[in-house]
Amino acid sequence: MGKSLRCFALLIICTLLLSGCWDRRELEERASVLAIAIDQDEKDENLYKMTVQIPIPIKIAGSSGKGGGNNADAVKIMSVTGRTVTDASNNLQMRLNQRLFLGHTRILAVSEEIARKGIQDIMDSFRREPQIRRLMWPIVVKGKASSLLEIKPRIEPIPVVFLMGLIENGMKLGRIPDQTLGDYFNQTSNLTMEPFLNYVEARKNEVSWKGVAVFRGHKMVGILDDEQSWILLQLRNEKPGGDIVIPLPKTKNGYVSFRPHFVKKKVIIHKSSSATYHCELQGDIVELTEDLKIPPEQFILQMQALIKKEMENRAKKLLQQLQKQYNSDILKLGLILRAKHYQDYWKTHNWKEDFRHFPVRVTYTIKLRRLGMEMQ
Amino acid sequence: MENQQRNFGTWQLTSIMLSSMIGVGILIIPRTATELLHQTGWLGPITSALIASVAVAAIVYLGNQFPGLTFVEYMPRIFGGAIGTLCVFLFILYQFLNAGTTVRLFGEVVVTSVLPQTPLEVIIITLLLLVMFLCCHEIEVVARINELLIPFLLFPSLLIPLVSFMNADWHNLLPFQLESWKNVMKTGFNTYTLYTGYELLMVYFAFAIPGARLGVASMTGMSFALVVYVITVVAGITVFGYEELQRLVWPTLELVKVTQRAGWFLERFESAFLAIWVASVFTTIGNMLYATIFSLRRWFHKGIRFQQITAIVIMVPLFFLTLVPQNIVELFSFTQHLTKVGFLITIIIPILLAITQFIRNQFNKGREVNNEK
Repeated sequence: MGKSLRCFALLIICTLLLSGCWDRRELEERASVLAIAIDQDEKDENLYKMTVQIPIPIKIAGSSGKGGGNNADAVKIMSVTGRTVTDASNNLQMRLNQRLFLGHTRILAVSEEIARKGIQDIMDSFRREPQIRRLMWPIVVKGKASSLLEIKPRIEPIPVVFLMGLIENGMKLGRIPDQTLGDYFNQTSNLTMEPFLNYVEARKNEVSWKGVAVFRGHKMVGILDDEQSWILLQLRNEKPGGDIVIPLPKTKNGYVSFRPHFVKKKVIIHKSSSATYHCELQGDIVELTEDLKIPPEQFILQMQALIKKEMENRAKKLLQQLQKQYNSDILKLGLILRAKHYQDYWKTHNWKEDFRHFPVRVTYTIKLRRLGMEMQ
Repeated sequence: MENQQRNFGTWQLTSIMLSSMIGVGILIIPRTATELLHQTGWLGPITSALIASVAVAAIVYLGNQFPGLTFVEYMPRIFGGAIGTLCVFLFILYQFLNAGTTVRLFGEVVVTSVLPQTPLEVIIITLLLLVMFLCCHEIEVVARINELLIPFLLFPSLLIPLVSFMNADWHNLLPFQLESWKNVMKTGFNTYTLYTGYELLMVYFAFAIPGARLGVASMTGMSFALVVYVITVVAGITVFGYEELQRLVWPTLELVKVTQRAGWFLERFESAFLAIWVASVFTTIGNMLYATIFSLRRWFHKGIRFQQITAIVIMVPLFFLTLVPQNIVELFSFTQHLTKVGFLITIIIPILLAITQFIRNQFNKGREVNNEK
């Protein structure tokens, strides 16, 4: 009796432990979407067109064996239309043999046209869907968003992996802001700041980062080009941004290039009526196309002054655009004001409107450390 | 009954207290704490710890006064038959309801975030079966399980907020601006449910070995919990900002989701986090229900057989009770009502008990002095 009971118990335990979950799905039984692009439908203005990129596992595995012969077909690109994002993905599901899985989605591309109209209702479904990671990257695309998914970069079998590499490496170099979906959510709900997203342009075989798209609320209001985005990165995130190329004065076609390595910034608010950004850049001269024939000590001083002037001009232009043209505080200045001047400024002002009139100055300190491998 | 073995060490009592307190509440705390206090939300858990520690002090006093006795015995002794019995009944009922809502909250987390295709009932039943198995054993098992699982609970609950400080913006914590003290008190009362679980010590103190330091155990437990809660709230505010926190159902879970950096081993940490969380919630619910069933057993002066049968029987109404709230909004409003009721049971009653006992002691002492004269 005891033995048979024990056998029975063992059987029960085995059946319970050795079987999987009933809603288990193997990896290849899922249609993992790597990127989503959202456009407006050409024919009907009220419809969204959603384009997704789904990698085909067999094709990717096969291509490495063949030496990467037909890389281009490693992904499937599908387009559907719908009144909302969820409606479109339901329509997509009807055309797929496997279940749609959004857990691996890394890129959400939105066309500029839609971004300018406002993306609040698109973002709502991404907020509610538990599969969506807050770490994925929303991107505004110049022209049609689906063009971003249709590029054939050739370096990577999957176009989105190429794009992810582009953003990730740019982020590590400090040239591209790490603006995730979670950041976008935080910035839209925060009362003190406005959101921004990366802005890219896609052509036939390539994609390039063009700067950032500035938002006000959920609506895109304008673009900052790459040079200005780097200033933004320095003032906001203390990231160096890219190389600064300046034409040399009093020469025909001479240029000097400065590469910042370290950034320090300090924000000082004077009597709650104006703010000054002090930004210190440490870096090297990496290029000088014309010999200036001046002694090294003087050369350093001259270059520092030249770069300082150029940077301050660029920063002035950036603030001009942000304040007068876009009226959008993506610098997080409002956060600092609320944090440090709550009683004397924040309570009595409406930042969303007053940012426009708040005087902001930027001063740069350039510390030129090295001249590369060349002595002068 | 009173000569039952007493073999709970100080550390075991600490771990019982800690794992009863830290439960599903930690997943919601950044939101509830910042609801009224905004960026100064971290004051919420501190205030509620102050409120709760008064009650804890009262319970420690009672535990020292009545070694080897649970609240079932000493409540009628202090308050007299009728009121004491009523208090015992209220206490048991509260534990029962509280365990129910905790099970349901945990089920909701799992269903919304990890296993959306799994029916809620299945998750609740598996958890309840596990707890039922625990309740069929003698009380030493509870102590040992708590002691065993405490590292699994403390490690992630400290690690996750600390790691998420990497993407924190400290300006979100400023300004340190208190709009009103009323809001601080209100938040304190709203968030003190985080600490409920300490009242179970009214049962478990009875089994402390003679010489175990009850005060030290409860102090350590309380301060550990306080630290965990405060850094969780601070992490939530600095990472998300208080405005965004109001829009998140399970803020701490979202915190886990964004806590991922290139090169870190913490990729896709949320499933692992929830797996560990099962252990923590299991101890919370296990301790509550064990206390409920065990005090029923003491109340009716029955043996272990009675306890086993009760454990099995009581799970049926509990299961149906957990399914009463129809949606998440109803569930949250139900927990809020329970918080208000719990305030009476977990704070006012222990304090009143301690005061009454203290006065009675003084009175008796005075009489003894008179008798000697």
